[in-house]
Amino acid sequence: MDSAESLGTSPLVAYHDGTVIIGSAKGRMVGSIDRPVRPDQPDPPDRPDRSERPKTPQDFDAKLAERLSTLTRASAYERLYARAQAQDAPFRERLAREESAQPKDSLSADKPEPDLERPRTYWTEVPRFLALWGRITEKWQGQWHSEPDPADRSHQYDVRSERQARAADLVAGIPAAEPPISESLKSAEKESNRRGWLVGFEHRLKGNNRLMEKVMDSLEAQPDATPEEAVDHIPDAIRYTFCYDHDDYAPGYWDTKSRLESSGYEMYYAKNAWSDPEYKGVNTRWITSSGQRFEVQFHTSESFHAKDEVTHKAYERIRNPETPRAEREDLRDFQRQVTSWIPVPPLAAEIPDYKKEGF
Amino acid sequence: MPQKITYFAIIGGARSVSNPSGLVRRLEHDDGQEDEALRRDFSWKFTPVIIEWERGDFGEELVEVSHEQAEKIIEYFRGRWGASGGA
Repeated sequence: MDSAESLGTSPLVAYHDGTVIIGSAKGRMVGSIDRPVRPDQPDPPDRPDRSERPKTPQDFDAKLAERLSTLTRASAYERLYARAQAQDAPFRERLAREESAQPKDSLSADKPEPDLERPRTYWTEVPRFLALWGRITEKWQGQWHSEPDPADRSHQYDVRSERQARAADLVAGIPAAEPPISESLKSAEKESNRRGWLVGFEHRLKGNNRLMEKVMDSLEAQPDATPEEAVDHIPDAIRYTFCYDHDDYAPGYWDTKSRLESSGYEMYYAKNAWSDPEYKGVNTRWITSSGQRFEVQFHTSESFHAKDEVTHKAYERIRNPETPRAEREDLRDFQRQVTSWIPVPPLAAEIPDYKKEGF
Repeated sequence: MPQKITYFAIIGGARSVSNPSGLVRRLEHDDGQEDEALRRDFSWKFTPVIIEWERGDFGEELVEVSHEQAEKIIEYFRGRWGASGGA
């Protein structure tokens, strides 16, 4: 457990699997790629996950309150680790049997002993993912250009200026719709009997530059769309992410969905990506009675970490028009390798896709 | 020369394949894929929307169409935008 001993308890994190060492200053998430702060988003808090966990309300069930009061990243990791050990016990036993069945002299001197005490899980593979990302970066960075400020990219788009201006006006009005939606999401988190917690809440509003970039990409791909269509249909101008423990995931999804519907919101789209080789989770889209759309993603700790901390930059590179095809293939292969280690929660595959007619 | 080209009509809201808001395509080359969108001047240019749609990140729906349907959609756009896209 050397790669995660400092979760939530120490300001210093170090991975060491023989291929990579990462020193981490206080506030950086364990396993995070040392990427620059996203320019259109505020700095994350020192410990974003802990700070966003629900506080214990007075009327909470005593058992749940006690659990929440001790729910840290360290304890969450300990539980995941213990569960992974239990799940991998048959694998370890098989390895032990195979080893004992082999003649002693068949083992070469330089072959390491299998580490039977350290079953391989998503979390044990994170250092390898980071090392792999380092190799991809090293291979391709000579062809990387500095990322232009999205605000300066408008001249690159084949979109008429009056459509841009109208889109910019519409984008400017989005933040006003956010506070009541956030209040409902916070209530759903607090009342969750499936222990879901919001992550990345401080990023619930997509940055204005990034949003305009996305609107311009959309308008350029849809020359026949109006600015109203393009802006209204951006699914994640306001976005939230719920995380659940592995076993609580599917019940938690249904519980949160029900709570949001009780708040008067309507889900008009759901995409279950638990069978997707490059991304795991469920992305849903909602609309308020006044017509404001927002996105809610449903993740486990592993799927969120993979998306937000390991493959995020690869996804951005894949979307970049400057990225060569061959690099894009390396990046997609990287996403597949990382994603293949994310355990699928029970019944997650049963969550249906949905699309409401007319949306 | 791509080995395979797959076209997708962009639809959403009240739109359908007969009046899409855009047309995109995926070209499969020996060394990987390239995604392009049809622009108003009827040239093709890189687009991220197929990748985003695959991840549930794009707000509209993509519907795969045949090469014949894609030709009809381009003709539909010529009628709306004019031969050079200037309408």
